[in-house]
Amino acid sequence: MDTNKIKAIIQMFEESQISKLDLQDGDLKLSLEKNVEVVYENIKKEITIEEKTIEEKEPIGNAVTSPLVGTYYSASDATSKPFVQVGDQVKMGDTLCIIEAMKVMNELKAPQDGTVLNIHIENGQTVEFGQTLITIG
Amino acid sequence: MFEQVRDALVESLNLEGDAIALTSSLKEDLGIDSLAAVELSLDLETEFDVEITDEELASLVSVEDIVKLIESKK
Amino acid sequence: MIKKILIANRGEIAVRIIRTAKEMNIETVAVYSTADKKALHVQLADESVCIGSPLAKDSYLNMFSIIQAACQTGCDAIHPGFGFLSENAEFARLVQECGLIFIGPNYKIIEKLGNKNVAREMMIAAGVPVIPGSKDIITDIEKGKEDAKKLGYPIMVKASNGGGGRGMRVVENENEFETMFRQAKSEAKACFGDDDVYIEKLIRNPKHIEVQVVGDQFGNVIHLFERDCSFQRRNQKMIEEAPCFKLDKTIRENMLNDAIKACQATGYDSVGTIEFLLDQSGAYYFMEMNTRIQVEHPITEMITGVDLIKLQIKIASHNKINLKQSDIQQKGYAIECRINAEDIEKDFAPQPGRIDFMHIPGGRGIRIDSAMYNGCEISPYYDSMILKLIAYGDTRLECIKKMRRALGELIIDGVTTNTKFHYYTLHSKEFIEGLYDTSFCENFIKELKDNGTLI
Repeated sequence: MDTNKIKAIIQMFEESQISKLDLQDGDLKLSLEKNVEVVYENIKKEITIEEKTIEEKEPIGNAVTSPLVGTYYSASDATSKPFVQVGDQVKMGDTLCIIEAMKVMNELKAPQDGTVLNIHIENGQTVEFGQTLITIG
Repeated sequence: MFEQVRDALVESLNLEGDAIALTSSLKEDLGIDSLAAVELSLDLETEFDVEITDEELASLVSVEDIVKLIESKK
Repeated sequence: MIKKILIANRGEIAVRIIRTAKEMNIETVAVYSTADKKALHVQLADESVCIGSPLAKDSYLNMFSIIQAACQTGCDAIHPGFGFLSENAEFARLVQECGLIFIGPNYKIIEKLGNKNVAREMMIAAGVPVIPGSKDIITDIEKGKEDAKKLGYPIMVKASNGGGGRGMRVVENENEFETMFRQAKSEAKACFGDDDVYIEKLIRNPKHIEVQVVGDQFGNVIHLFERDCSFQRRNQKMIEEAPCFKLDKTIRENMLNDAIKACQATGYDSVGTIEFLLDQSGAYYFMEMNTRIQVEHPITEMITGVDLIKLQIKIASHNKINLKQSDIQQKGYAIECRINAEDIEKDFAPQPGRIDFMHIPGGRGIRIDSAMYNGCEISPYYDSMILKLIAYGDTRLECIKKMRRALGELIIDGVTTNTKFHYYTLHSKEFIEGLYDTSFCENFIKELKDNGTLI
């Protein structure tokens, strides 16, 4: 069976609602699987508002969350370089950012060694307790 | 006075006016149990501005007793 | 005028405050702990900020988190509700120092009235009758015994900075003094972080009557009549009524006037409550002043038609009370049953869990204040009160019958509640007669236990 046919079959399978397909043609065995988004009628109006920040696919790695309500600063002051950027290597205890609360500057330390996979927040933005700031993997 | 007492009974216990006679017994004829009796005494106290003690309430058997009791307090 | 309020509370009182703020076109910011992520007050407010982990000390008692949240969301006022930080003078001062309005009395007044002993002295100076007792804080056991002997047993050992029935012990006679004294001190330390205690005469089985008062920042003071909160279990109120049924007219007049006097003496400038104890002889004594809105305030709102939270907010925005005492008319009767998630057959142990299904009663004269909804969680971290059922009727009896009907209609599945207990109470003779005192509730529970209804 030539490759375009296989591509066509896969493409057709992709668009279909079926979640599993096994195909045998001569010595070629093709088995395809995907999870189908089960759509159901939401009968009860769930009185919960959607999460404000859309839940992006969590990159593997641990989330460093804010221990305080306050304002996030990526650098020690306006003029200096940010403490970390995506891709940086950090060691446990390195300063990742500052959370300013009640006029007090609190340095947030890296809880583990690793690489900065993602920074979910911009300099100067306000944060709430438990909000994910940086992911380290 | 009987009319006033009867109206109070109708109002308080949702009874039929003409089912109430001077001689009707509270328990048997009008089906007033101890709880309803307490509630009735409260209504009578507010309606006629009198005090009815527990003993007096317990001694009431017929509608006539109520009328006599209230008249004695007026 | 206040434009944006942060509500430093949760549960039904937060929802209740948010509702009035919305009616006044004031923006609302809710704060919540991670356990309250899906709470109703968070969903109803215009904005919300997570302020900490579930334990109250890390979230709803975390002053800095709350004030920071208020500043960064641009609020101009904080409403503390009741409990939590509502009577914390330090918090009120900090709020003011950060340029925000604390919706409540001036922090100096909170400080003064928060200390039961200082409050007593102010009342004595104002000519308001107080419970006979020793003025100073007792530190030495022997001295305490001496004072107690002078007063004559039974006496009460009470936390100076306590309230809500905590940090207090009854002492029947001298040889009980030491153990009870130590217990009261340790409970006061645990609950209020302050183990100062004083002693006063025990008033045997009094009625607990409190007067709703309102003062503004211009010296005007009015009262909104009294509430009868005698139905208590271990000093925790369960059912409250307004007005107090069969309260002698002259005693009532004097009590209301004394409440005004107390308010004027302290320069009280917000919504508050003066609590009195009324003994069998008809004498009453000042017990304490609550410098906050109270759980049972709705029953006063029902008989006077006044929105107390709106009044609180207006006063905090430096407005005069536009109501004269003659404007406050009292009509009809109101009763409130506190529905708690507790198991009456397990000594009222709290029952956290998830509400699978809930039906709320309605109809003329029924008001429900609650933050519960179908499918919501009741967390073990906070108070077990989940719903306030309030009935209003033209006469007290009509009000009782209405409450019985509403209790019968109330369904809360998935969590055990004390609804059944309220239903029994509203059918008991003593309750209907309305002359019960603060000992009735516990005797009634014992009675129910004895005749097998509550195993």
